Amino acid sequence: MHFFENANYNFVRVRRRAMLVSAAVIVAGMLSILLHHGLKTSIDFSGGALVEIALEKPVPVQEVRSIVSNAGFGDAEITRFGQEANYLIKVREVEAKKSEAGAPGDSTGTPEGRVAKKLKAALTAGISGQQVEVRRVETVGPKIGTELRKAAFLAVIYSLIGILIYISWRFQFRFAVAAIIATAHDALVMLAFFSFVGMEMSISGIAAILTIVGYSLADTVVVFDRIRENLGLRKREDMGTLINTSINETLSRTIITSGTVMLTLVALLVFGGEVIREFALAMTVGIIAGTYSSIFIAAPILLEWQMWHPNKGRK
Amino acid sequence: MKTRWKLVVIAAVLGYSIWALLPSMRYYSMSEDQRNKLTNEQRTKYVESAIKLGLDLQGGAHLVMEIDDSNLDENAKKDAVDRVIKILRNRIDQFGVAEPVIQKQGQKRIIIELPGLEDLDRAEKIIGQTAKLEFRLVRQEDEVGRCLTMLDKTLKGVTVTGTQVDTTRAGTPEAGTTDDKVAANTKTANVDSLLPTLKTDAAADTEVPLPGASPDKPFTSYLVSVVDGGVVVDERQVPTVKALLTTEQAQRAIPTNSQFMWADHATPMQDTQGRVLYLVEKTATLDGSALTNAQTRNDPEDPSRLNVGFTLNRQGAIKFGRFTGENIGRRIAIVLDEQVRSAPAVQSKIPNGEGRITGMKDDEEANDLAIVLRAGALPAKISVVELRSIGPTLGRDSIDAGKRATSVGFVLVVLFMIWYYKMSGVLASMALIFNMIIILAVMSTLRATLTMPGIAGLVLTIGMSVDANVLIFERIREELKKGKTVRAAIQAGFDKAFATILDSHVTTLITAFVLWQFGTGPIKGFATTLSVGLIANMFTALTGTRVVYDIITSRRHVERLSI
Repeated sequence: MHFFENANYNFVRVRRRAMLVSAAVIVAGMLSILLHHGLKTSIDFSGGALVEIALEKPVPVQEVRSIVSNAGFGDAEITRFGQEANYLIKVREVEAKKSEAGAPGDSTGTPEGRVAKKLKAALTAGISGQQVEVRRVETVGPKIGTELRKAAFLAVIYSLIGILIYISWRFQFRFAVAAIIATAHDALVMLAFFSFVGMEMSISGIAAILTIVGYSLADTVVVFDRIRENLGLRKREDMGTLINTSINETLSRTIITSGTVMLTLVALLVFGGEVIREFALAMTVGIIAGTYSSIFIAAPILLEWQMWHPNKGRK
Repeated sequence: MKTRWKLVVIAAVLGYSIWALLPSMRYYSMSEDQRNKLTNEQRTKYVESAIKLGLDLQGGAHLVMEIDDSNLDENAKKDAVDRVIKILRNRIDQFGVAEPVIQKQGQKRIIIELPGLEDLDRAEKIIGQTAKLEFRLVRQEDEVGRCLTMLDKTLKGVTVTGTQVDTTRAGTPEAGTTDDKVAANTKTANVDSLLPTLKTDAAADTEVPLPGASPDKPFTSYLVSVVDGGVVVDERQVPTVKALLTTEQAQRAIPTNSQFMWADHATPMQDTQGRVLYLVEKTATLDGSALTNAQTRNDPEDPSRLNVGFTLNRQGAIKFGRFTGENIGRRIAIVLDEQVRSAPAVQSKIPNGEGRITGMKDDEEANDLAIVLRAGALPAKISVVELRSIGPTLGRDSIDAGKRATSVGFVLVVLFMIWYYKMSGVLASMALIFNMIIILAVMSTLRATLTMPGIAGLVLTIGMSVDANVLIFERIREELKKGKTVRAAIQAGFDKAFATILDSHVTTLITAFVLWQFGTGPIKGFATTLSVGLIANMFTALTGTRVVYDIITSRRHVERLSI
C-alpha cells in the first residue's frame, strides 16, 4: 500500500488562490468575532460560577431553567448532555451583578462562591422526587480571568519567538518567517472556527491552539527540511519547481501523520467524554488547517519571498 | 558492536520503565476492598511510587486562595504567605484530608488541593476563616443610648437606596418637609425591593411589616428591640443599617474609643429574624494569640450540645483574670473575625485563664471552631479566587472515558500502521507500546500527575509518535525506489530522516515547554505528557526501530523489506 507514490501535483501554481481562500476564511472569522463583540469566553476567562448536576432520570431543560431563574439567575446558561440527564449551569460575570452583595455572617466567600452555593441549594431542593448529584462546581474570580488572558497571549508570543530563533538557526530567517506566518494562519483559522460555531474560548481552547502551533510547525519543518536538502542537491533547478517537488515528496508523510493523529482525535471525540470533546473538536480543525497550511501556505511563501527578493545564485 | 550497545540501552530503559511502573500497576489493579486492607505504611509506599491521579480523575477540590495583605506592614508582608501556609497546613491536617497539596503561587496566592474531598462548604470555612479571636468590653446601656441619639441627629437627611447611601443632603434637616416624606417613602420602597435578594423564602417575610424609616429618627427607627447588651435590627434591613453606619456622618456620632460590631448569627424573634448590633470597646483586651489550646466539651447546661473550651497561657490568664475581676456584672463580647459570637455577662473573676465559647449550631461547627482556634489565626484575610471541585463519579467517568479513548485510538493507529507498512508497521506498533510504557514510567518517576487533559495528551501522542517512524519508513521506501539495496536504503533512510525528526520534534517541544510554563494544573499535565511523549518517541524511533532493522539485515542478505 502506498498513497501518493508518484505524487506530482502542482501546488505552487494554485498558491495565490489558496492564499486568497485562507485570507477569506480568516477575514470572515475576524469579522464574525468583531460582530459578536469578541469571542465567547468560558468562566476561566470571564469569571463566574458553574455547577454540573446529574439526575437519575431526565427532566425538561425548562424545568431546570425555571428553578435557576427563581433562584435569581435568569440569564444562566443551561446545557444538557451525556445520557441526557446531565445539566451544566453557568452564570457569568457575577461581579457585575450587585445582587450578591455580601450577606452578613459570610465573610470568607466570594460573590462567585455564593452564586454556586445558591445554585446548588436551589437545584437540590427544586428537583423533586429524585436524587440530585452535584458532579462539579467551579467558581473563578474576575481577576484570574484577566491574568489568564495576559498569560495566554504571552504564551503564544513566547512560543513564536522561540520558534523564530530555532528555525532561523537551523534554516534561514526567511524559513522562520514563512513558518510563523503559516502557524499564525492555523491559529487564526481556529479562532475563526470558535467564533463561527459559537464555541467558548477556555483554557483547553488555548491548549488546543498551542498544541496545533507545535504540530503545524513540525509539519512545516518537515517540508522545509526537504527544501533545504534539495537546495543543496539540485542547484540548477528553479525555485518554483524545487519547492513543488519538495512538497510532493513529503506529501505521503504529511497525509499519513495527519491521518494517524486524526484517528486518535476521532477516538477522543467519540469516547473522550464531555470534558475533552471541545478540545478534540478544536484540535481536529487545527490539524486540518495545519496540514493545509504546510502544503499551500508555508512553502509557497518562501517562493513569493524568492521572487520579491531573490537569493543569490537562484533563478 | 554498535548494535549490542544499543540493545543494552534499550533493555535498560525498558527494564527501568517496567520496574517504575510495577507499583502503579499493582495499586490501580486492586479493588477497593484490597486497598482498604493495606496497612498505612503499605499505602503510603504505594501512593508515593504509583502514578498520581489528578483531582479531575480522582475527585476532590482545587482552591486558589489570595491573601489580602493591605493591612500589614512591610515586614509582615514578606513572610505573610508562608505563615498563612503553615497555619493552613495545620488546619487541613487536623481536618483530616489525605495527601493535601498546599503550595505557594507567586507573592500572594496559595494553591490548595484536597483529593477526595466531599464536604466542600465545610472545608472552605475551615480554610478561609481568619479565626481572629478577641475579647472586647461591651459598652453599657447609657453610653449606647447617647450614641444612638447622636446618630439620629447626624444622620438626618441621609437617604438610602438599597445599600447605597446618599449623604448629599445631610446636615440640612429643615430642607422642606414634603421632600423628607418623599425621601422616607422611597427609602421604604427600596428596602422592600431588596427583599428577594436577601431571602429565598421571601413569601413568609413580606407579611411581617418592616419598621419604617422616619425622618426624625433616621437611625433608631430601624431598631426593633434590645437584648443582651445590644440593639436588634431586622435581618432584612441589616445591609441598609450597615451602609448607614459606614457614612461619615455616622462615624462622627460614634465615640472614638468605641465601635459597632454585628452578631455572627441571626436571633429568632416574633415572626421574623433579627440581628444584634453591639457597641464595643475599640481596642481588644485580649486576643487569640494568648490561646494555648481549644477543645470541644459538653455544654454544662445542655449536655447534648458541644461548646468550645479554651485555655490561655500564663500571661493571658493573668490579664484575663484582672479584666474579669474589674468588670463583674458587665458584658464581654467574644469576637471572632470581627463578629460577635456571644456577649456573656461576667459572673465572677476568672483566674485560671479558661473559658468557653457557646452558641454552636451543631457539633460539626464546634469541632471546626476548635480546629481553627488551635491552629491559630491567619495573619491576614484570605479569600477564594478560584475553586474547582470534582465529584468522585465524574472522576470515575473521566477515567473510563480516558481508558476507552486511549485503547480505541491505539487500536486504530496500530491497525492502520500494519495495513500500510506490513511488518514494518508491526515494528512501529511495538515502538508505540514501548513509548507508552516509557511515558508512564517517566511520569511516575517525575511524580507528575496524570490529569484528563494529560490523557488527551497521551492519546494525541499515540497519533504523533508514529510520525518519527513514518518519516523513516517513507524515506526508506524512497531509497528503495531509487534502486538501493535493502541495507543501503535503511542506512540512507535513517540518516536522512534524522535531521527532519530532530527539527520537527524540537519545534513541538518548544511550544510544549511554553505551554507547561504558562499552564496551571490540568494544562501542565497535558504539556508534561506531550513533552515526555515527544522525547520518548525520538528515542524509540532512532534506537529501537533501528536496532531491529540492523539485526534483520546483519544476519543474512535481505532481498525484500516488508514496508
